[in-house]
Amino acid sequence: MHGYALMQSFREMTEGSDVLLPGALYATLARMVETGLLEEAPPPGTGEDRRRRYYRVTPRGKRVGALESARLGRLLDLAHRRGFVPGEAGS
Amino acid sequence: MNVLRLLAEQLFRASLLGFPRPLRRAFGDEAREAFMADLLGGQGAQGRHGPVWFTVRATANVVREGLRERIRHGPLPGHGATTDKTTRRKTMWGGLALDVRPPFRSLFRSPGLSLAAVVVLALGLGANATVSSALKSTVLAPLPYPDAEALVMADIVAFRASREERRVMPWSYAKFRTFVEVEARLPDPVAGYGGRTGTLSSRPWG
Repeated sequence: MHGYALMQSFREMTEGSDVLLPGALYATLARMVETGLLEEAPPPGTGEDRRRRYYRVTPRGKRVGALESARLGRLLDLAHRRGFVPGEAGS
Repeated sequence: MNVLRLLAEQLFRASLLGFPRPLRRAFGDEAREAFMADLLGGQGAQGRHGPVWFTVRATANVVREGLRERIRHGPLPGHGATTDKTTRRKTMWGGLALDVRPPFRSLFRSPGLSLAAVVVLALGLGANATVSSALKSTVLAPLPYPDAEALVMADIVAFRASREERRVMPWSYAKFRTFVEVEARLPDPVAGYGGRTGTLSSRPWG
């Protein structure tokens, strides 16, 4: 997936409530490649735009993603239990 | 519309100067294309304030991210990054110097134009400073007296009840003396001023 496709995908997933701007996107991509979470990949098809860089998640990136999701999940769970989420009673 | 599109693109391109050079070389074109695609496709620019606000946000975001990259992380590995802190700092700000140098070179390349720009700027700034300081001293600054905000100016107003008419009467020295003597119970000092030349005598009036 290339950078612009990521922007569009992010917008679709958040249903337009959040916008990923190019400055933040490409700075983050550079850092993720640097830390080994992403790696550059060849274009998926011959008809793809060769000027664009394509990325894929590395095994390390998947592990970090899983751990980070679990951490955020625990935090969210804590927020639910403490009653910070609207419509839910605290314990 | 084309002019606005060109302006937005140039503004975004200029903001990319905030990115460290290696990052700009690696991602500058893609970031610009992504910005333009969003701007023209209207997806990112569909918000409440439209394409102008989107341009401002995207440009500010690039500047912020670029500065963050320069200041917090230094250059990327393989693009001049080093583990030595001093060298890393030098490379980081050296990169900034490399970005700033070309505009200065072009200034020195056409000294006449640069001088004219400097003179115009100096005149503009000077005029601005003069007007601002005049405005400040005449209108905005408080009067140079203690409790200046309690200072009042007294007028003599003649009121004719039959015609319901008010008329401001001129002061004279005699009226001022009378005012001071009659109103001697006032706790605050009273002073007068005038714009005419006169002679004061030490003899009692009259």
